[in-house]
Amino acid sequence: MTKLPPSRGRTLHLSWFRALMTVLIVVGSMAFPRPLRADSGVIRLRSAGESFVVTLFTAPTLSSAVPAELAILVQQSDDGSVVLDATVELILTPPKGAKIRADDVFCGPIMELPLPYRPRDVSNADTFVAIPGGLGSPLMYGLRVRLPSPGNWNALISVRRGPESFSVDAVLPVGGPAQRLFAVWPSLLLPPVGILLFALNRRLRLQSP
Amino acid sequence: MSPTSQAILGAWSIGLWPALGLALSALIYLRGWRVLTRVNPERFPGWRAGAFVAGLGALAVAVASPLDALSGFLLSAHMVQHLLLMSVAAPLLLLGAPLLPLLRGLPRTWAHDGLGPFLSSPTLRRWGHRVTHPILGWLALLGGLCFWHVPAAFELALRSPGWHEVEHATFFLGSLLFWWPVIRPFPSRPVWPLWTVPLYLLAADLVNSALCAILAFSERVLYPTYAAAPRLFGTSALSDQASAGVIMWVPGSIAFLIPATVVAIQFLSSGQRLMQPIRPGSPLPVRPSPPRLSRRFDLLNVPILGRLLQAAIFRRIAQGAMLLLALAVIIDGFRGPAGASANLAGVLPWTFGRSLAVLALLAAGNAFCFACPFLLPRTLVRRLGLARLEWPRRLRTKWLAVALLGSFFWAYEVFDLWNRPQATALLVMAYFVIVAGVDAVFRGASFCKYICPIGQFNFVTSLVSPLEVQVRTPDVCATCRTHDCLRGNATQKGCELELYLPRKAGNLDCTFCLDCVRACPHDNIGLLAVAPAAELRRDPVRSSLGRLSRRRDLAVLALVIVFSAFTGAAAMTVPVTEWIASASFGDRPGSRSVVVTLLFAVTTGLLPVLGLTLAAGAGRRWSGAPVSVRDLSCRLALALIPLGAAMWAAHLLFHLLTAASALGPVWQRVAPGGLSLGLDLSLRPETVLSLQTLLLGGGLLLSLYTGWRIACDCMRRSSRSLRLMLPWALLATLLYGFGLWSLLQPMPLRGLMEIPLTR
Repeated sequence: MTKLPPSRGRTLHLSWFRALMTVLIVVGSMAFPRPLRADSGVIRLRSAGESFVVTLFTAPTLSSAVPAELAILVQQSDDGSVVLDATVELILTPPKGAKIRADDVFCGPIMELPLPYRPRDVSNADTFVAIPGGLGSPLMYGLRVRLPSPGNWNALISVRRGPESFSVDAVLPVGGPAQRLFAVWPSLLLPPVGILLFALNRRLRLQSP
Repeated sequence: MSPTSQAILGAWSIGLWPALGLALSALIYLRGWRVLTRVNPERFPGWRAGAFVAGLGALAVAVASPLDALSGFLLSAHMVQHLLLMSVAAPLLLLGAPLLPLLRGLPRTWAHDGLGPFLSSPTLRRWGHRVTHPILGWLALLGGLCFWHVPAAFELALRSPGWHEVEHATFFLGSLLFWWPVIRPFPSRPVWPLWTVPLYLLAADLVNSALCAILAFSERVLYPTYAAAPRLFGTSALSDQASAGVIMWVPGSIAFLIPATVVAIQFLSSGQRLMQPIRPGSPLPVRPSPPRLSRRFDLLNVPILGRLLQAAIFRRIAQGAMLLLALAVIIDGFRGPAGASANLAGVLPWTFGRSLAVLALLAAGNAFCFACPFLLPRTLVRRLGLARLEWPRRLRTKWLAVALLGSFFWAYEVFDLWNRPQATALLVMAYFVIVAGVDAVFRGASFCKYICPIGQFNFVTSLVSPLEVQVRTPDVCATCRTHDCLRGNATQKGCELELYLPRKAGNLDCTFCLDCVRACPHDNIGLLAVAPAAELRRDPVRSSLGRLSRRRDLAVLALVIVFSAFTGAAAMTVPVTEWIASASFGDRPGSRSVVVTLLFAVTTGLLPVLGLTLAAGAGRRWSGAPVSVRDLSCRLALALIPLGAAMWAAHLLFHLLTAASALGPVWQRVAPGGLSLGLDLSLRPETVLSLQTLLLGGGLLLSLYTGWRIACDCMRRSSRSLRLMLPWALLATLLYGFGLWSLLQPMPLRGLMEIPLTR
């Protein structure tokens, strides 16, 4: 049986529906609250104390599968100048109920001799020192840590310089490995796009005289 | 200069992909422009190449300079970035008349077979004319500009890196379309007469000025992100916004007004003549086709490097260096610390050796066999003159090598060889003894050809290498009577692996020793560029190998190599290690080994053979192909090699990039006080994953293409070819999916990769 083309009314209805859906998706994605973005990361926290203003930047999505990069900008409260000679420490606490093995180590590779792994009580938090320019950005204190369990991690950032100090809490939402798919979607497009172009190429060749 | 300014000026951050894209574009353009400027120097003068390269430079400054870092803090910096994209990079690129140079710069096959059907398609040409219509270009730029400056849209781009890239892409592509009718890059045809161009530009300037006025004179901060961002230079968010408006207004308007004035002057000075559309230009230059063979790249013709490669002493030096490294591995393996990450036997072979060998295979060819360290002691033993026996006829297959390679992969997983420096040292030592023992008794390169597991891996993987030892001109070989390449002569031995060059196809069994090159009296053998896996698409009778469709041993060897890549990568992931732990019988000794052995036997033996036979059988039945299931299975097994090689490369690249810094500590221990090795190849995790997925995707595409060509070789009708390959293509796609899954999984912390940070 020959399939009849859709009526004009139905075509119009479909195109209106598509347009409406597009508008809804765009508006919806704009209204969805997200953290602020800056310096190729998002601002997870910005807090001002008596002496310092601390801003914590991370990647837009944090995944338990790969080390997370945490960058901390420390500024003077009074004039906003960047502070590069303070000691910045992070105390990371895993999410409640996280299954972390005793031999899991939070941090990634660095240029140092390996230290023996230390069994430890995993419910306790771990302290890390952020290094100035540690992630390549000379303005920030940075460190790369592995957060091996999905969930909301707590990061207590403390900044000390001489008698001045300031501490502030931040929450780091860590997702599972599947989130990484979204981060590399352009590379994943290669096979389907390649196959599509190849099919189109063959079709055009067959059509050409 | 303040520390803040210094830090910002040093914040260059070019990503891997933009850098690769820009470099590749420049390379292809300049390659094409070099040819075209010789043929038609008037149409392609030097300034066009300069404009194109400057456009790429402006693009690089926009996306990679400190502007990018600053744009998160300052709206004015963000506006400069947009201005560079829209008013500098896009017009400069079009001034380079990039269409023909880019097309000519591509390899001829790609341009002709790949892009040809698209470029000659009437439908696509029609679409091309529509897309470059002035009205669409004007709307694309101005519409995009207005849309993205609406606070909700601008905020969306600031919050989400993905949308930010979409915003920049909109601006850049929109401005390419906008400037197209103004610049009219050759060989495009103008749609409107020249007098319309000034009006077109002035109308655009009007809209731009209105937008800038809103930004410059607004009394509140329009984009909340900048109100919340740290103020680095003491400027308020409102004054920053006003500066952004002025930047967009003044230089933005200049970018519209200068070309408008130039075109208006041109029009007025030329009078009526320019009221007509510009002529499309002279006919396209046609490059005379040079002889086919002279176009192929030959590594041996490269100055200095070609000479070096051909010199026997150079190979000896490379082998000597590798021998020293092997000796260091043996000594440190036995005498050094037990921890693999602090021992040369842990770091050199497993982190660097195999990774670099596989990358060299994919980038050039069989470099490991060229510099094989095991051959120097063997050469000494050969001088005893005991090698008189021929390798037994029954063993002249790859079955022994399959068993040895399979055993090696199995032992690696079961005994954690990567974490046992002593076992690694023992293995290397045993290799020396066996090589010398076998080749002391048997003639030729019996060990390399029939036994060596490393060699078999390299032979099979080098089928996707871009270089091959080949004859330069087949006609010369037709008149040759001495066949020195095979038999050798008084000064130079011939091919020990019994490959007769005129009938050699592909890199199988070729060690890249280049003995044949030195032996050939006609200087007719080169290291020529070939399309990766091209030799798998046909099935000729190959020297010393016969038809690949008849070689079940080679097919099984390929399957072991391909499936081991996936099993090995998956075995590193947390879900698989946890599954192995849960499937083992408690803490009973040897229970883990039993589980790993079973898993290994199923995933690299049973499953591949069964899956491939079923896929080939189903394809044959569905298509009615006049080929036996055995022959088809053998050929399709080899077609999986690109995918397997890609998985090996993705897996080993991960080790190389994440654990390269492990060489530093080992070096400090081995050579205290010596030169510090500050090797740091660490990339962002997402960049490593992008590289891995790109490699895997490329491998899948090459495998599918090879499979399709094999199917076409078996069938004449393309619809039937598709049926023949479809079940096999499903198997390849499943493998790809499994590889992708493995790459996304978290890794348990093993040996070298994870070192605790100072606490």
